[in-house]
Amino acid sequence: MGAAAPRLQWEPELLSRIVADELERLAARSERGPLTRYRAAAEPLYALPPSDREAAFYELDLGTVAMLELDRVPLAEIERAKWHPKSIHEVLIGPAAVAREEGADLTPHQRTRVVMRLRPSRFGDRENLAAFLAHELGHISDLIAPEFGYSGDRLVPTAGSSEHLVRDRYRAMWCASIDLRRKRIPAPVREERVRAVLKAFGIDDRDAASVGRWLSDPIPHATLLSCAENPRHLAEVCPGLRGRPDAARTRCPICKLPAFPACPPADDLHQAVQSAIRADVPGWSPSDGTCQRCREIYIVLGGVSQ
Amino acid sequence: MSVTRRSFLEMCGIGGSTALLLSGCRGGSRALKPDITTIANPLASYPSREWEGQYLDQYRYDSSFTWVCSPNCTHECRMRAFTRNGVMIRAEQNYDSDKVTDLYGNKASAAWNPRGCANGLTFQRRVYGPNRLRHPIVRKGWKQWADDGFPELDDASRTKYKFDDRGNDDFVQASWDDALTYAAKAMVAIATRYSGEEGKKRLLAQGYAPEMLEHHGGAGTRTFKHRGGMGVTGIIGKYGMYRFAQMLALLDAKVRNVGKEEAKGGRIWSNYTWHGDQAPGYPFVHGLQASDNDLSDLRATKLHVHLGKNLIENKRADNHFFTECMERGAKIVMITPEYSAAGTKADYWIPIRPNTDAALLLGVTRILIDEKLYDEAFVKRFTDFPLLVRTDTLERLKAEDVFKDYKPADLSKRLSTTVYGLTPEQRAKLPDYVVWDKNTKGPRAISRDDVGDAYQALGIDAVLEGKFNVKLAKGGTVEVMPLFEMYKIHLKDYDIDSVAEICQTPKDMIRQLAKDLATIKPAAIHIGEGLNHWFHATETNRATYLPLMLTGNIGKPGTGSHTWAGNYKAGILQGSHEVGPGIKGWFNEDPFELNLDENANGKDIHAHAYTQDEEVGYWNYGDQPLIVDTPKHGRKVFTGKSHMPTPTKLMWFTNVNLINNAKWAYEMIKNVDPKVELIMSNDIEHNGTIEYSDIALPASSWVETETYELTMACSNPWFQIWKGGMKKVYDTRDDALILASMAKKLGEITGESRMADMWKFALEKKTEVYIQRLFDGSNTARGYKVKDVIEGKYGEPGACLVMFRTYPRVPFYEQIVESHPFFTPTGRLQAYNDEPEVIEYGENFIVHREGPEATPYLPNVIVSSNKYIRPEDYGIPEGHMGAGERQVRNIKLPWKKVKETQNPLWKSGYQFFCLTPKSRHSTHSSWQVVDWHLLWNNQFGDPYRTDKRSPGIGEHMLHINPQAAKDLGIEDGDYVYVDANPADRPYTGAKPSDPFYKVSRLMLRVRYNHAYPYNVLMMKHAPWIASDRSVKAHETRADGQAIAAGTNYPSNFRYGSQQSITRGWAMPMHQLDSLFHKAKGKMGFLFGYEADNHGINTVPKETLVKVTKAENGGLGGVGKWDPTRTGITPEAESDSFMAYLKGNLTKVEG
Repeated sequence: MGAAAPRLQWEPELLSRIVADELERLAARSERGPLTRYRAAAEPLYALPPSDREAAFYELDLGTVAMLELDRVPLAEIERAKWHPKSIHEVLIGPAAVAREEGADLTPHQRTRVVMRLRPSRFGDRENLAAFLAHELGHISDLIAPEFGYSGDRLVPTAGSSEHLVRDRYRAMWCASIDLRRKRIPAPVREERVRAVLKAFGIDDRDAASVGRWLSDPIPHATLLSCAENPRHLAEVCPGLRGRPDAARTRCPICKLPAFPACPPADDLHQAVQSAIRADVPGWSPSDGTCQRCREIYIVLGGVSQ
Repeated sequence: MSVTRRSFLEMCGIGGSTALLLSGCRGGSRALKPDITTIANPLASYPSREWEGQYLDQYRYDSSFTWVCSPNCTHECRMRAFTRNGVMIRAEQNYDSDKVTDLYGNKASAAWNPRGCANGLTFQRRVYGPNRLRHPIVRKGWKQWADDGFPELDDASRTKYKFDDRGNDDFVQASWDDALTYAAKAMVAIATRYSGEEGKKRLLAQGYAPEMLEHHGGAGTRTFKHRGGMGVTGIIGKYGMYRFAQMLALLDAKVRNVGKEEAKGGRIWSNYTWHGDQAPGYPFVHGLQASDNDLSDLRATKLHVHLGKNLIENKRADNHFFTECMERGAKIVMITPEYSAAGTKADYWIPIRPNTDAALLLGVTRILIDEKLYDEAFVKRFTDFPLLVRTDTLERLKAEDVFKDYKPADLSKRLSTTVYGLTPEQRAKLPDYVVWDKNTKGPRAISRDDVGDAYQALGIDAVLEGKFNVKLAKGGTVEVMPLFEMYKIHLKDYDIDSVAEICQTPKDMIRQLAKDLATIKPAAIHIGEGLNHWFHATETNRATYLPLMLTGNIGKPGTGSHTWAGNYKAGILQGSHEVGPGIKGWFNEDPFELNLDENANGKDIHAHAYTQDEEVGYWNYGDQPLIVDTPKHGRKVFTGKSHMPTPTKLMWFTNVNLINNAKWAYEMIKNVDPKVELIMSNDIEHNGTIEYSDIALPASSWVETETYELTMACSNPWFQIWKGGMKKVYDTRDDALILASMAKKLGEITGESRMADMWKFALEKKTEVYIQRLFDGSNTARGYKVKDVIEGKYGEPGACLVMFRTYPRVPFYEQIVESHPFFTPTGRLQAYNDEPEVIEYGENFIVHREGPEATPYLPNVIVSSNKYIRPEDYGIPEGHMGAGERQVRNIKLPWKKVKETQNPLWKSGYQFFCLTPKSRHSTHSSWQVVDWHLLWNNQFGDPYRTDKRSPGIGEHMLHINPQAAKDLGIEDGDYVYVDANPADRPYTGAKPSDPFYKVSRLMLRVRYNHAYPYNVLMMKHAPWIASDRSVKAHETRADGQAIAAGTNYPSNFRYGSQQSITRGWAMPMHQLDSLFHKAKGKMGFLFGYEADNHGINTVPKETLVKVTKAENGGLGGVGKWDPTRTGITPEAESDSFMAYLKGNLTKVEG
C-alpha cells in the first residue's frame, strides 16, 4: 500500500438515514439516550434559514456517525483494500434505493474517486456490510490495477440483444474471481460464486472444481470479456475445459444468434457449401463451426446434397 | 459540507466502468421530521380521505352510447360505452338480444343474451393505445419517388427509394390533403404506366408470366389490388373499398380514353378464401359457398361431433350454445390431435394424426355402408349415390349418352330457373343424368330439379348397387355403376385396420363414432378454420358430408356440417331478380350511370361490375399463378383462366393486417413487394402491415365514427347499424370518408367529377342513404326503413332481425323440406365430382391424400388402390422436392405401400406438425398487443418485464409435448427456434449474413403441455410479426422492448413470427374453371372462380418444422425458467401436487 488511505465522504441523505435508523435501533433496545440527545441538538437547526440548515444537519450527522461508530466498518475495509499507490483519494458513500443499485464504481472522469452506493439497511448488519464492501472494493482494485487492463470504457460494449447475456456472464466471472481471491472466504459463498458462473455458461456441475481453480487467479479484463462474448473462449483459457469447446454454449459465428448446443466444426461440409459461407462471411473457416440451421441453409444455397 | 445530494448525483453519472453493476441513483427523503406528537389533531388534516370518494366514484359516467364491436370474429356484438369528460372509460354488454324483431314480429332466442367478450370490454385500450395511428403518414423514400415524378423503377431505383427495404425507411407525417394528393397522383401514374401495349410490354419485361395479362385487357387499373378487410364487418366503410375499385373504371376511361364498354376497374381481393376460412370442399358437395347454421341451433342437436374445432376457446360471445348441448343431453364427440379445452367437455375424445380427418371419415363411411346403417330413402332422394358413373371416362352417365336424340328436361319453369336464377346458357352446359330404375329394369333420365318429392313423383326406384352395361346412343356399350356401388369398391382401401394406422386412432373409437352417427339423430359435424388450413382441406370438407348424407342429417334443426370461420357472409344481402342487386348494388353501382337521387329505391340502382375478383393467394404465391414445368407435358398452367391474377403494382386495403397475416410474410416483404409501387393501408393502429407500407391513412374507430355503418354475421340473425358516440381522439376519418376523400381528390386531379359523385352521400355524411338502398335491394331486408331501425322500431335502436326462412337459420331447409335442388350440377348432394380437372387430379372420389409437405410419407400421395381413380402424375419423379412439383404430382398408392415411403423433410429432422389455431384472447391479429390481453394470452405475461428479453409484457409461446422437448434438450420455458424447410423459409434465398434473416427467423418461448402428442406443436395464430424496426428496438432499447422507434409498432416476438414457417401454396383443386356452383351474392350460378366462394385458400398448417433450443428460460438466459421451481408445472410436479392431481391430497378416514 504505502500511500495514505483515501478520505471517506458521505452523501447527506444516506448519512441522515443511517443515523436515524441506528438511533431508532438503539431506542428499541431501550437505549433512548442517543436519540434524545440527537433531537435536542437537532431542534434548533430547524430554526435556521433553509440555506444553512442542510449543512448544519450534515455536521450533526457526521458527528453522530463517529459517535456511534457507524464509519468503523467502511474505514476498515477502505484501509484493507489493496489500492494501487496514490490511485484513489476519496470514497464517497451514497444511497441506493434497491439492492440492484448497490455497488462501487469509479467516477466517470477523474477515476480517483470511488462512489459506493448502499442501502441504509446495510448498516444494521455490520458483518455482512464488511463482506459486501470488501467485495465491491475488490472490483475497484481490479479496475485500477494495470494488470487488469481496464482502459476506462464501458466494461461490456453495447452488443445488441446479447448485451444482457454478455453482461451476466462477465459479472458472474468477475464477481467469482474477486471473491475466490479473498482469504477466509466462506465455503458457501465460494460455491455460490462458482455455481453462478456455471449457470451463466451452461457448464455442467462436474466442471465446478476446474472452473473454481481458474477463477482463483487474477483474470484480465480482456479475457473476461472475450469469454463473456464467446463462451467457446472459456474452453480455451480455463485449463479444465481445454479441448472441449462444447463445454460452454455459444453463438453461431455466421448468423450471430445463440446456439444450443455449441456450433460444431464444419470440416465435413462440401467445399461448395464452405465457399457459399465464405462468400457471405469473409474470414470464416470450418473450425469456427456453424449452427445447425446455418448449415442447412448453406447446403441449400450451395446447391449440393450433403 | 463538501458533498450535496446534487453533487453526489453528478458524480455517479452513467458511463463509468462498473455501471454494469450499478444503475440508477435515487435520493432518500429527510429522515427525521418534527415529532408528530406536536400535531394536536391529526385526523383534522391527515390523512386525506379523498381517495375513498375517488374509489367509490370510479364507475361514474357522464353519458353512454351503444356501438358494435365488429372485428372478424363473426359475432358483431352491440356494446355500451361509458364516457366521462369525453373519455371512454369502460364498456359493457348491452343485453338486447331478446328485444329485437323483424317486420313480422319474429324474435330470436333470449338465450343469446348477454353478447360481448373481453375484446369489446377492453376496446378503449385500443382507442387510446400507444400504437394508435394518429395522422396520415407517408414513407420517406416513397415520397421522394413521388416528388421525383414517379420515375420508372429498376433495381437501382428500387434501392434508392427503399422499395426493397421498406422496413428500414422512415415515415413522415402528412396532412390529409397531402397524403390524398400523393396517393391520387400515384394512382394516375401507375395506371398510366401499365396501360396499353406499352404497359403490357413493361409487365412482361419485369418477368410476369404472359398468362397474367389475360385479364389485364390493356388497363393499368387492373394492376390495382383492393381489399376491404372482411367487408361484412363494415359494409359501407370496408366493402366500400370495392366500390372504389369499381370507380377506377372512370380513371381507366380517362387514362386510355375509352368508353364505358371497355373501361376496367381494379381487381378486388378476396377475404374469406384468403384467410383460409372457407371450407373449400363445400361447393363441391352442395354448391354453396359455405354452410353455417345459426349458432343457437347448436342446442338442437343430439350428437355434436367436433372436428378440429374448439368451441370453448373460440366463438367467445356465443359458444355457450355448445356447452348447452350438455344440459340438453346431447352426446359430444371431439376429434382433434390434442386433448383440447373443448375436449374436456366431450363424452369421448378421438385422437387423430393431423391432416388425416378425411381418412377417418372414410373409415366411418365404410362401416355405415358395410353394416347397412344408412337411410336408403334419403340417399335416393337427395344424394348422387344413385347416379350412374361410366367406368371408362369416370364421368357421370349423361342422358344424351344413352337416349338417342335426347332433349334435356325443360327447367325454365322449375325452381332451378324461377327461384335460383339458372340461365339458359348455364342450362345448356348441364346435362341430365341417369339412374338404373328397379321398376323398369333400365336406365332413366333425371334432371337437377328431380330431387326429393320431385324425384319420387317420377315413379323411379333407383338402385344403389350393381354393375350394368348400357348401350350408348352413338353405338357401343359402356359399363356403368351407381356411385354407391363404386364407393363400396373405393372404400376397400379404408378398412378399419388401415384407417387406424393412417390416423393413429384406436379402432374401437372409430367404430363407436360410426355407431353413434348411425343411431343418434339429429347429428351435426362442426368443423373450424383449422381443418381448412390444410392443403387437402377440400377432401376433408367433402368427407364430413359422407356420413351425414348417408344418415339423412341435413337440412333439419341440429344437423349438418358447418363452419363459421370468418365473417364472410355478404350473401346475407342477397340480390335476386325480384328485389334488386343486393350487395352488388353497393360496390358494383355503375359509375357511368350513377343514381344520385337520395330517395332512390335500391332495386333501381344499376349494378354492373367493372371490377374483377382476384385471390390474394396469388400475390402470396410470389405474385404468380401455379405454372409447373412438367417432364411429361412441359410447361403446364394449373391456374384456371377464371382465377388468373394480374401483376400487382398497387395494393390498397382497409381494416386488414394483410402483410402481417400473410403466410410466408417475409417472402412477401423480401422478394415480392419490392415490385409493388404503392402499398397503402387504412387502419386504426400502426400494425405489422403498415411497417412495410408506403402510405397509412388513420381510420376512426367503432366508437368514434361520425356516419352510420352496417354489419351482420354468418353466425347470428341480426342486422346492426351504428355510429360512434364520442369525439375523435386523433386526426382520423371514417372508413367511408377516407375512400370518398380519395375519390374526390382523384376526381380533382383527373377532372372527372363523377368520381366525387360516386361518393356523394358519404361526402355529405349521409351513409344511411346507401344502407337503405342495400335493404331495398336484398331478399333478407326489403321492407325495413333505416330510419325506423335507427330509431328503435324493432326493439333496440340500430338493430333488426335478418329475415331468414327459419329462426334459428337452418341451411338447406328448403332443399330437404321443400325439395328444392341443391346448388350442384346434379341438384343433389354430391359424393362424386366428375369435372375434368378433378378426374385428372385423382379426386373424383372423396379420398385421403397426404399433404405436399406436412406428412411423414410421400408428399401429396393419394391413398387408394381404386381403379376408378386415374390421376395424372405429369412424369414428376417421386423424389422431386420442388414446391410446385409436389403440389401437382398425383401418385396413387395403397396404404400398405404409402407407409413404407418417407418424406425427405421428415427424414432430415423436420418431424413436427405445427398447429396454429385462434386464440381466445384476440380476434386474429386484433387485440394481439393490447396490454390487458397480452398479460393473459400467454404464460409469460409480466407487467414488470422482469426478464428484459421479453419483447413486451407478454410474448408468444409454443406448446410442446414434454417428452419431445426433453429429447431435444429443451426445458420448460426455454427460448427455441422453430424452422421450416430451409429451401424457402423464412424466405427464398435467405442468407444468415443478411440482417433481415435475423428479423425473420422465429424465436419464441416453449411450454410443456401434455395435451399435445409427440410430433404435434401448437402456437396461436396471427401475432404481430417482428419487423426490422422492432428487432432493432429490442436489441438497442435499454429496456429491451420490441417497440419500434418512430412508429411505436410493438411486436409479439423478439425475432420472426408465425409466418416464418409458413409458405404460400396454390392448391390445384381450388382453381377449377369447370366447377358449377351458386354465386355468393345473388340468386344465380357460375362456373369457376369467384372470390370467397371457389378460389385458393391459404394453408398455414401445411408445414413441417424443427425445434432447436436458443436460450435458457431463466432470467436473462440463466438457468431454468423460474416457475418450474414451483412444483406445479408439467414434468416438475412436487409430490404434494402430484398427490393433488391424483386426488390423494386429503384422505377421508373411517
